[in-house]
Amino acid sequence: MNRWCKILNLITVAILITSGEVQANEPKDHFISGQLNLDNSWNRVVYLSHIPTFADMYRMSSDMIIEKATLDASGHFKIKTGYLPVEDQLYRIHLSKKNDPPASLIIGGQDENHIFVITGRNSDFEILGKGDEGVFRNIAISGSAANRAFQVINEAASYLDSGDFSGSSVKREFITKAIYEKLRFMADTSTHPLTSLYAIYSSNFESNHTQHPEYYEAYLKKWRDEKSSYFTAFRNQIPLPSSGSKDLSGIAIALGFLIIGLAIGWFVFSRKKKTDPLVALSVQERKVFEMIQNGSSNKEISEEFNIGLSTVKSHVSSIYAKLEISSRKEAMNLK
Amino acid sequence: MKKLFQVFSITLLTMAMSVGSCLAQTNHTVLNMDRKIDLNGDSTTEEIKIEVQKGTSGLEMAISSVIRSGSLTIEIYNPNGEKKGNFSVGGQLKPSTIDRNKKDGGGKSEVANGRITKYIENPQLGNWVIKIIPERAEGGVSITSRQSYDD
Repeated sequence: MNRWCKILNLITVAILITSGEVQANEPKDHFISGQLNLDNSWNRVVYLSHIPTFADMYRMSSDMIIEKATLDASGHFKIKTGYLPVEDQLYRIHLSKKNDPPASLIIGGQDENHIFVITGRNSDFEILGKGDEGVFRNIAISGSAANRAFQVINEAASYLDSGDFSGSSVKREFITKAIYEKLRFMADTSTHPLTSLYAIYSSNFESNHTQHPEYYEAYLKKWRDEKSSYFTAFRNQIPLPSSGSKDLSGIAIALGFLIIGLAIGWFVFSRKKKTDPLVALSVQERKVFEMIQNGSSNKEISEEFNIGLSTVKSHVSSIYAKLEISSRKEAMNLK
Repeated sequence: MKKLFQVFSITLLTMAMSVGSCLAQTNHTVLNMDRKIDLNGDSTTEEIKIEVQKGTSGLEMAISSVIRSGSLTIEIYNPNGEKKGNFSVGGQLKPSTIDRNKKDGGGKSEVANGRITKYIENPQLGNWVIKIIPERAEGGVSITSRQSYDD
C-alpha cells in the first residue's frame, strides 16, 4: 500500500511540474492597444483590416476586416494580434460613423477615419489620440519604431498637397522633386523593409523610376531576399534590370541566324550556278551552242538561223565568255 | 454736448475705417460644382474634368460613394496626369444574395462607403480629372468641388 502511495505521489508531482512548465512556455498575449478621442458621431467599435499590398491601402470592403474591438467610455481599446502572421505586415485600423456601415473609408478632412500600422504576431504597441482635431489627425504611437517611421513618411508626403506652391510652376516642380528625393533617401536608409518600401510608394515611383534606373536597380538588389507580397507586387511594377541585356542578346541571335541563312543561300546559289552553266546563256545563244557542240561551223550556223556571220561570231564570243571557255573543243567537251 | 458729439463722430469714423479695411483685405469668390451619379450595375468609366484657371488659390474636391454591390474605384489626377488620390470600395456578395435589411454591421451587410476630401493650395492650372470606374456597381457617387480666388 505504501509503495502504491509513493508511486501515486510521484506521478502527481510529475504532472504538477509538467503543467507548470507548459504554463511557463505558453506564449504571452500581444496587443495593439490605444485610446482615441471620439465624439458621439462615431460608433464605438474599432476595426482591423489586412492590407496585402500597398496598392490596396485605399481599398475597402467587408472581407478585408479581420477583427473588431469595442472602445470603452474613455476611448480605450485592445486588439489581439496573437493569431496574425509572424512577419510584419500592413494593417488598417478604422472607425465608422454612426449611420455608416462597418466597411467605410474616409480619406482626408476632419473625419478621416483610419490609420495604417505595421504589425505582426509578436508586436505590442500603443496608439494615443492627441487633441480634438479629428480622431486620427494627431496620433502618437509608442513601442514601435517601424510605425513611428511610417508616420514620418506620411508627414513628408503630405507636404505635396499642403505646401505653399504659390509662385511659378518651376517652384512647384523643384519642391516636388526635392520631396520625392527625400522620400527615396528615407527608403534607402530605412532598415525595416515595409517602411522602406512605403517611402518608395510615397515618392510616386510609377512616374519617375525610369529617370533613376540605377537607384531602383540597387534598391531591388538590396531587398532581393524579401519575398513578401508587398515586394512581389513592387517588383512586378518595376522592369527587371536584366531585361535590357536579354533584348540585346535576342537581337544578336536573330542577326546571327540571318547571316548564316544568307551565307547558306549564297553558297547554294553559287553552286547551282556552277552545275548549270547554260542558265547564263540566252535562248539564241543556247541554240548556237548546241550547233557548236554538234561540230557546226560559223557559216553553217549562219545559214541555219538565217543570221549574219558577224552575228554568229558575236554569239560565239559571248558564249565563250559566259561559259569561261576559249575554244570550240572545250565547248564540245562541256556537258 | 459739443464734446459728446465730437467723441461720437470720432468713434463712428474709426469704426467705419476698420470695417472698410477688413473688406479691402480679403475677398474670395468661390465656384461650386455638385454632381450626383446613380450606378445601376454599371461598368462604364466616366471622367469629370475640373478646370483650374489662373488666380485660383485653392481647390477642394469631395467625392463620396455608397456601393451596395459590385465595386467602384475613384481616382483623382492633376493636369500632369499624376494620380493625387484614390479609393476603391466594393461589396463582395453577388447582388441577389445581399440582405439589404442588415445595416448594423452584424457582418452580413456588404454595403461599403468611401469618401475622399482633398484640398490643394495653389493648385496646378489646367484640367484636374476625376475618374469614376465602376464594375457592375449598384449605388451612387456624389462629387462636389469648390475653387477659391483671391480678388
